[in-house]
Amino acid sequence: MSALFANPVTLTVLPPLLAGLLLGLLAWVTAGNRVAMAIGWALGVVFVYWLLEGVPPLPPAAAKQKLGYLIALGGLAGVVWSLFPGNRPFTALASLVLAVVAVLWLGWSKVIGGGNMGVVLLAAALAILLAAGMIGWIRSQDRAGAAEEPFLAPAVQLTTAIAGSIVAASGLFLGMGQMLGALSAMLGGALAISYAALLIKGRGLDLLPPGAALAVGNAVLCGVALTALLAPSPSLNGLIVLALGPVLAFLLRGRIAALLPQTQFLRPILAGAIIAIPAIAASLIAVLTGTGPFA
Amino acid sequence: MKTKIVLALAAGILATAPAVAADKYTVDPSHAWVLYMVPNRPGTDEVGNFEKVSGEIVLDKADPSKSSVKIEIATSSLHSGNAKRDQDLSSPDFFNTGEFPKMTFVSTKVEKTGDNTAKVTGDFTMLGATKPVTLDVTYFGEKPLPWDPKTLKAGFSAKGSIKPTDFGMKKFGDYGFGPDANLVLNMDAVRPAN
Repeated sequence: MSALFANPVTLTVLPPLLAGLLLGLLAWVTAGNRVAMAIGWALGVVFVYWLLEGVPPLPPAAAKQKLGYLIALGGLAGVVWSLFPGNRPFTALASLVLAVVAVLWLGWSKVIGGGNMGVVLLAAALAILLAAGMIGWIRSQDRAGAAEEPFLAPAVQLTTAIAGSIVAASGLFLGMGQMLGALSAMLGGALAISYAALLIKGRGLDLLPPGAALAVGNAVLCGVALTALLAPSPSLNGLIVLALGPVLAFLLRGRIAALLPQTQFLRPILAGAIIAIPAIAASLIAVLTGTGPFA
Repeated sequence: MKTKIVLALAAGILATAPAVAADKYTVDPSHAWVLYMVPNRPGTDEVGNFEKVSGEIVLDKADPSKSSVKIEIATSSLHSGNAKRDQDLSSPDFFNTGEFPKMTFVSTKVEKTGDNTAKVTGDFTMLGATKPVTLDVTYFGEKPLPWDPKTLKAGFSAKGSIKPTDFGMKKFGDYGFGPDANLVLNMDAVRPAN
């Protein structure tokens, strides 16, 4: 068993996938209770960080160690949001501010060290774009809508995390490739259970109510920002397309339904494929222009 | 008045006597190599070096315990023989050169172990963490530079090992390296001839 988990690929995929399956079951059992799901996802993202990076020292010295605290803070913010679901404009604004503060803290060595401030500004812009896109998806979830509706917001997070993983690995930041890959495995596990629910019950699960979505979205966003800040050779074009992904997918949102077939069980798959287009483009750009393991 | 001046001069000479006994060398960056050898089982050891090294060595030949060493290594000067691997090693998973551009060793204790050897213990700082490290140091003597007799060159070699995971380099263990990284510091250092 220990030999199995000594393989970094297995370690990256298998435990987070199992955690995601458990989160899917939690959504099934609790009917997507927003507090239960926020706590579940907050624990899930902290678990992924701990699995791959261990317990960060206090005070953290490196940005990757700060990431652990930011992920925990995002999880906590998600739980608080789930407890007080009202006042949506305030929580949206707080999420954007949190994203900028996170980037500044992660890039602090560049800010005070006279490093390349352009990289910090780019990372901040990417974080704002990602946060804005994800907030849009969180706020527009239509729980009474068509068959694909419960899958859309998690699919945006999943495709962003996968593309982020590929962009990070292509930029030779393999550890962040692992982290974002593990987050996507966890989202994939939860979506698999949700799809099983669609087949069995005729309706997908409410996997990411607002607080839960904030916990996961914050982890993905911080991972992408850290890639922009510190990957040895990041694909800037790939990162920009990646960050635009949730916004572009959000703009496509109204048109997706018209493109989908009437067959209920096919709609989430095709909707996910359409949503994934910007993320696929970002991945291709990073792979084709990067120097990482895919080059 | 004369007596006072003579006493003051004598006191001054006595006060500076220990400093005179120790020789202060500057590491010659063009003749300094910091090599690392890292087990990557079942593969062989991976080997690389850091090219940019600077520092200062104070050697008290009469009382080596009063000697000291300060070394600074530019992490971005790492060469492993493969450009892609160099970039990988510069990432936050390993040396994190973007945030931590240098590693330092500052001695805290020198113990003579033989005619030309000593154990030098000091604080090694890498990735923002500082841990004690002991190096086995050999001194190869000194002689004037052939083209500049007013400058003396001395040779030093130091060997030791560190556990990179202790410094927060978690991926070092996760990706199958180590657990230890062996270090060899070979360096010439120069000082003006007295």
